[in-house]
Amino acid sequence: MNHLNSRYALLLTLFLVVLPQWTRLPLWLDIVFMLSLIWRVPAIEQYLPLPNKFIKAGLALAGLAGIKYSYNTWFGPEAGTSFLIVCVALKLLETKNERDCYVLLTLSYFLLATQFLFSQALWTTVYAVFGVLCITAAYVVFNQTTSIKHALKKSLILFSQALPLMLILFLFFPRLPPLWTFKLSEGTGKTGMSDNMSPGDLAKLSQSSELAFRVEFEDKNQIPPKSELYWRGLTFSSFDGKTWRSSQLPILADENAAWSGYVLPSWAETQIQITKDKPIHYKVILEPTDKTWLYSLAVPYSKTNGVGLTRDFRLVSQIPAFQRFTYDAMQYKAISLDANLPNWLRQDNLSLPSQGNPVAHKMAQQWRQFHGSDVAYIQAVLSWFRKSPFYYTLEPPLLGDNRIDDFLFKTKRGFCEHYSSSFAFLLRAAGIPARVVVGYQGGEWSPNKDSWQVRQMDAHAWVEAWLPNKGWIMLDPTGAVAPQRIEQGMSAMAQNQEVWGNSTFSGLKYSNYKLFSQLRNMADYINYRWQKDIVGYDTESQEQLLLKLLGDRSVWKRIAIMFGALIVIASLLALWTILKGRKSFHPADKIIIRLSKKLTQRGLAREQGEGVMAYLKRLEQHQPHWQAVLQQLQTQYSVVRYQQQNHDASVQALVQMRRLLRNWPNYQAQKTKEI
Amino acid sequence: MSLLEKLKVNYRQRWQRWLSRRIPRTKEVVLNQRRVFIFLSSQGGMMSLLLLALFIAGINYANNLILGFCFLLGSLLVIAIHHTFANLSGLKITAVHGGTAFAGDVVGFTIRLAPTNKRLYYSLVLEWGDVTERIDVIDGSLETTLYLRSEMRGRFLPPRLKMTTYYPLGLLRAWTWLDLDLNAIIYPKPIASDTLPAGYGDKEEAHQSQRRRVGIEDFEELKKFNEGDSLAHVSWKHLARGQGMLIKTYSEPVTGSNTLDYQAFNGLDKEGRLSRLAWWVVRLTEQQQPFALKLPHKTLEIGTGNSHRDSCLQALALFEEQA
Repeated sequence: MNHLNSRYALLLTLFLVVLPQWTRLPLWLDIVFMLSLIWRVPAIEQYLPLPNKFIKAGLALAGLAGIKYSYNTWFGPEAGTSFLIVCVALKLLETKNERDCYVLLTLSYFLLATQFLFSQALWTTVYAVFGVLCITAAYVVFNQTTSIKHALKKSLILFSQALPLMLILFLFFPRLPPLWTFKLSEGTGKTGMSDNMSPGDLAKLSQSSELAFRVEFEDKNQIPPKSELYWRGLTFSSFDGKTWRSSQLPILADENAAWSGYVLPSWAETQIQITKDKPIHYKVILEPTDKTWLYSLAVPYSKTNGVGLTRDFRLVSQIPAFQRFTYDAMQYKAISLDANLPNWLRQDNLSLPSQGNPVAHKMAQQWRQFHGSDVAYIQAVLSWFRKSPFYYTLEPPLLGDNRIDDFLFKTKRGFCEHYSSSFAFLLRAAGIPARVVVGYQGGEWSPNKDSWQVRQMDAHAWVEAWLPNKGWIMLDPTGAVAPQRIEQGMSAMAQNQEVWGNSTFSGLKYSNYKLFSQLRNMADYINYRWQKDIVGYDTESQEQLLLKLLGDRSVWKRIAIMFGALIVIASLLALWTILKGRKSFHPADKIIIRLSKKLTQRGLAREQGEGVMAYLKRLEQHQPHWQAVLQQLQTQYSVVRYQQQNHDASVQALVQMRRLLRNWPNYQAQKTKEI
Repeated sequence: MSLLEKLKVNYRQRWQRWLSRRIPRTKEVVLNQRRVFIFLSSQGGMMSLLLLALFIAGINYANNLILGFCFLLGSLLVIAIHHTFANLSGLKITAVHGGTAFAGDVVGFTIRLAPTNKRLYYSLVLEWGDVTERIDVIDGSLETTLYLRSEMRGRFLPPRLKMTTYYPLGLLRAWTWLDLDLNAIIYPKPIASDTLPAGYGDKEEAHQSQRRRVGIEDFEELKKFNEGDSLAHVSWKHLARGQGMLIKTYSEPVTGSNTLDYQAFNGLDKEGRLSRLAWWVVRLTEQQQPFALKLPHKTLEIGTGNSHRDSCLQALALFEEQA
């Protein structure tokens, strides 16, 4: 074996396998791994002795301690992967023989697979395919002496032959339920809503075109207009003058939701009055958020297991959505929600900090008195928003301690966060129960219109106010300021350069946005199909696909078909291997071989490397009375094999040769020779 | 003998019988599915463990891509079965030649490996006795000689030749045991001895009989040079005159003193005598002295040169050989 070749193949493979994990790993591990790779480069290794077992034991302990330090645990995918990489680095330092190298190659397959725990995107898969090709080629390098190029070619052949088998397995193999459950750890910093609304949060989201969730409406003709698509996620009813947070009341906690499949609590029966209209059915495919809250249109209800309806009429999930989570939901039209507002809830939605924002406070009280009714007051505030020089911008100026006052009366520039926050403040200050709702607004069709895509940039905040007899009503002050934000959605809004602000980078951001929006749409769509059809290929979609393919629900039939297909492919390959292993003979040669076989018993078989003509001449010497037949056979053979003849002539010659063989004269013992 | 040992012996015998039915002793064999065995190597075992781990991870995390990855590696393993098998199948192995050697020395066995198709064969490991060689068959047919250590005088039938391959991935091992119809002649191990084991002879008698044989005493005639003839006897005069290589032959009276006689030893066993005779055969050939060899049932006429030496050694090697 070319020792250097295989060493470099091994090192390169390990590098390629760890590369996609690079940014995910703690820095010290990246460095340790790189050092051990470099250590084993033959040119360096000859000057640097490998560590002895004490040093290795020390390194192992240090690695364990480092993992504990970096992750606070030794378990879970992140810590586990890091542990694996520590093992690989140590194993690399003690690798001596071929067997050790195989251990490393096997581990590198495993490491390559672990990246799927963190990303299931299309490009991850493409990289994994590339990785498999490289590792397989490294295996070949360890088993042959020729060249790396040959190894890569062989690896490609093996891969392309394995692909059909793999596809069948993927399609048909029953998706088993988990043997035990893992919890993917939190805190991986996903883009998305947080459980409070601090200044600037939503503006950050508005610049991310990452997908938040997709919606598949059951009836595509029954989709509400875009301006009515308010995807409610969280309600904030606690305000400290700066940040809006969820209510601290235990009864409003997510754990006390009305879980689907259980008896509805009494508030759900009495406080929700819905119309007799048929609900709109839809399915939400939520990207991982690591959070429990789900997004839905009011008033929602879900039959999906583990999904519940909270007291503020939102959907929540029992388990945080660490992975893509799909749930069914229905939207009912409400006549009234909380028509009789309990006192504790009223108090919760009226409380304001005792100090701060005196101007806004005073204005609210005076206006409420002046207009006489809650409805008139709300109208007045909204029309003030509309008529005064308020601007919608993602880069608002900084606000001081009295945020509401500063915004309403000084800067007048902001986006949904500012408008909803100050509007809720003005309502509460006038004695109207109000809360801020955050979620997403709008969305757009996927390029081929099979799903509705909601992106992080669609993040929005609005207000719900409570009016006597009517209950909670939805109010969107942003709509008053920038109606196109609501009607056309954020992506239309983003076409307007002013929205991006006037800073040096805003122009750049805007042009980037335009340039990439089309490309991104395409890429997103491909990614969407990938996520939906491949990553999301679960028991249910398998069931549907196989039902379509086979028209049958029988599990045994499916398993039989799967094994049948596998066996057919495997045996086709086997047949190909065997047939290709056989030598192919010219029909004329086949006849000579048959003759030789016939004469084997008499010791007159054709010898290794003996030419056909020489063989026939030898037979002639040995059995003189065969001379006539042998002469004919020679003539016909040379006609077929050596003369450029037309097709018919050679066919005829072959027929004659066969006839000669059939009527072969008997063998005669040679008496004359012995005398 | 314990029961376990009995079972072991029994199993071994059955296995050998089965193997000799399946792969009988032949001059030439083309490997095919009847003759090639295939199973996971230890690396393949490791790979299977990996597949199991990936499968469990795939279903536990409900991660389709890990599951797909597992299926892909599983399929690769299955495909590798075909490729590993194909790296032996279709190869023709021919027994070419078994060499000669003195007992205890290594003796060469030459075999030819030839593809019966257009395939290339990589990394074939030949294990024969305690000899291992790794070869590729990539430029048509190939002859290789493996040197096995001989043990005792006689005909040396090599054990089964084991051909193994792990190509392309090392995850599977395909192998075959070939019983090639080859043998080597193993000469007795030469043991030096002081006294020439000359057969009985009488000079007077010889003079009287006038029978002469090739010897060193009296010039007899000129003969054409043959390989193995002594250069000392070449007639350089004739060569200088351009009459070709001629050698002068000498004769001497037959006395029996140049006969290596099996019976001329005192108090030695059969192998001891053969070993000493072998030594003398080599010695006399080196000294270019003509000699004859007399064995109980066989006598080799007086002669000299390498071919004479070989036939004498062969006679010694096969002396009273069983079968």
